[in-house]
Amino acid sequence: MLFDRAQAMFHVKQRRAPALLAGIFLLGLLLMGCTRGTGPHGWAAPFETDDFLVVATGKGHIDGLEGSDLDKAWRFPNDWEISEKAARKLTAIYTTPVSTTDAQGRDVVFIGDYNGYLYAFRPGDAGEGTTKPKAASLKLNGPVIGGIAFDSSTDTLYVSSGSRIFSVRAADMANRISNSDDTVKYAQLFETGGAIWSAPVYASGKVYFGSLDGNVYAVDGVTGNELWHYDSGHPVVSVTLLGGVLITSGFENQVVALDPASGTEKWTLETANWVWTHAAGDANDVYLADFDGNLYDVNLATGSVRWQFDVGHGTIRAGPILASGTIVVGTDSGWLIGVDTAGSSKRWEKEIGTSVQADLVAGAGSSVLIAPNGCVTPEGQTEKLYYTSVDARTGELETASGVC
Amino acid sequence: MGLIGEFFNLILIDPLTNLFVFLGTTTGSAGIGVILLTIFIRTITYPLQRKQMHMMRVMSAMQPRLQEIKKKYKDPRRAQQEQMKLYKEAGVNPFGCFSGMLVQMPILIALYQTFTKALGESPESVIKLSGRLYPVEYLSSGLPLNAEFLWLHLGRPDPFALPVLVAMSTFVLQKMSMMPATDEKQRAQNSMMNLLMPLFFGWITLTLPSGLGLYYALSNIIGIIMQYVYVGRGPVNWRALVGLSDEPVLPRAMEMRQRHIDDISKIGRSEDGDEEEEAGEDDGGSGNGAKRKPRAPQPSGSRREVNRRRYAGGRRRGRR
Repeated sequence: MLFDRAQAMFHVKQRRAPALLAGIFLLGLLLMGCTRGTGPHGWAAPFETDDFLVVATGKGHIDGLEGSDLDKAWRFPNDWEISEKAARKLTAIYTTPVSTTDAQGRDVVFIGDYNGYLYAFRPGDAGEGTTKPKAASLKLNGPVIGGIAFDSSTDTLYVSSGSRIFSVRAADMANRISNSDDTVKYAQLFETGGAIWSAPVYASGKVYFGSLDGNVYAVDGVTGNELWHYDSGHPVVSVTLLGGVLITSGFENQVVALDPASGTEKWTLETANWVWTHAAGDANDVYLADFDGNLYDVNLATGSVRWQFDVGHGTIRAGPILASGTIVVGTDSGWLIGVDTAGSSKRWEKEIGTSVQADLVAGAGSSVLIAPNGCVTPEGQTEKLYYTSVDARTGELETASGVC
Repeated sequence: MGLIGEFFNLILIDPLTNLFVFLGTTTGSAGIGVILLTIFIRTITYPLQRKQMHMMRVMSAMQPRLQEIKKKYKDPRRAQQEQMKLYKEAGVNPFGCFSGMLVQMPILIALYQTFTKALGESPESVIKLSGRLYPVEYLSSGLPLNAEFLWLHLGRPDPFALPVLVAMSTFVLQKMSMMPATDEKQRAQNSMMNLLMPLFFGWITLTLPSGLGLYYALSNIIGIIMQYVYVGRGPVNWRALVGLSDEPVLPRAMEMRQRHIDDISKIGRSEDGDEEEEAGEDDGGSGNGAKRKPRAPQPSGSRREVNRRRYAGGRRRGRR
C-alpha cells in the first residue's frame, strides 16, 4: 500500500522531470553557495605609529584609528589614490605594517598584500586637501604572505613574495608616493623551492625565513648569499628570533630551535598539533600555542616544557602575548582568554564572535592590542562593534568607532 | 543544520578529503589524485549507475504502453493505478532513474568542499584542511598539495578549456543516453535539455575550482564509455552526435529498446479482458462486460513473476 502510494506520488512528479532536475541542481548550487571555500582573509597584527593605531579591520583594507576613542581617521586603500590600476584592489593583508620616516620626517607606512604588491603611504596625508593623497605600489613576484622586515641602518625592506625574498630601498618607495614614475631600487635576494609564509627576520646583517619547501634559511642581507639552511622535513611557516634562538615551526607537530649563527639544532619540542604562532616570551620562557588549542610554556635554553594548558577553544593561530602577568591568547573560534603564568587556570575568557588569527601585540599598560577578523553585533545589541584591545588583567574589551 | 552538516562531514567530506590528500601526497600531484579519485568514485557507484542506465532504457521502452493505458482510461486515478501496475509487473522502479543522480549530487557537493579545502592556496584554507585530516602523519607530509596540473591550477577556476570540455562531454553523454522522442513534446523537451544541461555545467565550471571541473569532465568520459559498452558497443552515428540527425547516436540502443518494447508489450496482455471491462465501466458502465470472451486459464502469478525477474535482473536476460 505504502509502496503503491509512493510510486503514485513519484509518478506524478516524473512528468515534471525537468522541474525536478532543475530543483536538484538549484539545491546543489545553494548548498555550494552556503558552503563557500576558504579564501584568503589575512592576519596582519595591529601596529602603532606616533599618531595612529593601524589595524586591518577587514579583508583587504587597513584603518588608522586615532584619539582615546579610537575614531577611524582613514582607510587604506579607499582613501588613497594608487596610480597603477591593477594595484588598486587589495585582497588580503597578512603582513604587519612597518613604519619609517621620510626625508621630511613624515611617517611612511609599508604593507604587502596577497595580490603581490608592496605599498607605501603617509598616514598624515589623509584628509589633507580636497583630493585623495597618493600612495606608491611595487609589483613583486607573488602573494605577500610572510611579511616585511626592516633594516634601518641600510634603509632596506626585506619582503617575502611568492617563493622569493626581495630587498627594497625604503626611501625610493617613499619618494614614489609623490612621483609614481620614480624608480625604486629593489632586487631579488633569494629564491626558495616553495612559497614563503613566514615573516622574514632581520638581525645583524642576516635575513632568516622559512619556506614551504621545508627549509629554514639564513641569507646575507646585502648579497643574498645563503649562509646556511636547515632542512626540517616539513613546510616551515613560523620563524621567530627570541633571546638569541631561532624558534621555527610549521606543518608538523614539533617546534625546532636553531642557533642563528650556524643553523644547528638546539632542541626540538613535540607538540600535540601544528604550531603556526610566533613565539612570544623572554630570555627564559617561550609561549607557543598549537592547532589543538594547547598553550605551552617552554624553557628557551633547553626546550623542556614547563607547563602545557588546554585553553579549550580549538585552533590557535594568533601569537600569544605576555602582559601584566597574564598570557593572553586569541582563538580561531573567536575567544580571548587570559591564562596565569603558572599555566594552572584561566583568569578570564571572553567570546567576541569573530576569529582572532592576527598576532596579539602589547599596548600601553595592561592593554593588549587585537585585530579580529571583522565587526560583530554582540548579543542584546543592535550596533556593530569592532574590538581593538583587551585588558590583560580583567578581560575588559575596548572598541573602535566608525569602523563598522 | 549543524548536526546534518557534521554528519555530512563525517560520512562523506572527511573520508573524501583524506582519501584525496592521500592520493595527492602519494602521487605528488593533486591532478593525478583527482583522476584516481574519479575512477574510485565511479567504481564504487557503478552498480547504481548501471541500474540507472537500465531503468532509463526500460522506462523509455515503456512509454508506448503507458500512453496506451492513458488513452484507455479516462479517469486519471485509474490510469495511474494501471500504470503503477505495469511498473510493478515489469519489476521497474521509476525512482531508479534518479538514483544515480541522487547519489551523484551529495558526492559533487562533498567534492566541492574537498577541493576547495585541499587545493586552496591561502593559509586559512590549510588551517581548515588540517582540522579535517585524520591523525596520520603521512597525510600532512605532502601539504600543501601540488595543485598545478597540465595548464590548470586545480584550486582556481579555469576560464576556457575546462568549461568547454565539461560542456562538450555532458552534451555527448546526454546524446548517447537519450532515446529518440516518441512525440513532439518530448522531442522539444529533449532538445532543450540537450542544450541547457551542457551550458549549465559549463557555466558552473567557470566559477568552481578546476579540480571539480576535471572530476566532472573525467566522470562524463567514463560515463560515455559505460554507455557505449552497456548497449553492446557497435557503430556510432556521428551525424546524430553533432545534431544533424534525429536518429540515436548508438544504433544498437534502438535494438535494445525494441527488445524491451516487445517484452513489455507482453506484460498484462493476458488480463486484457479485465482491462476492457474496467475501461467500459470507466466509460459509463455500458454493459460491455457481458460481451467479454472467456479467459484462458493462466498459471496464477507465474507470468508476472517471469516478467518481474526479467526486468529486475537488468540486462542479464535481455542481452544477446
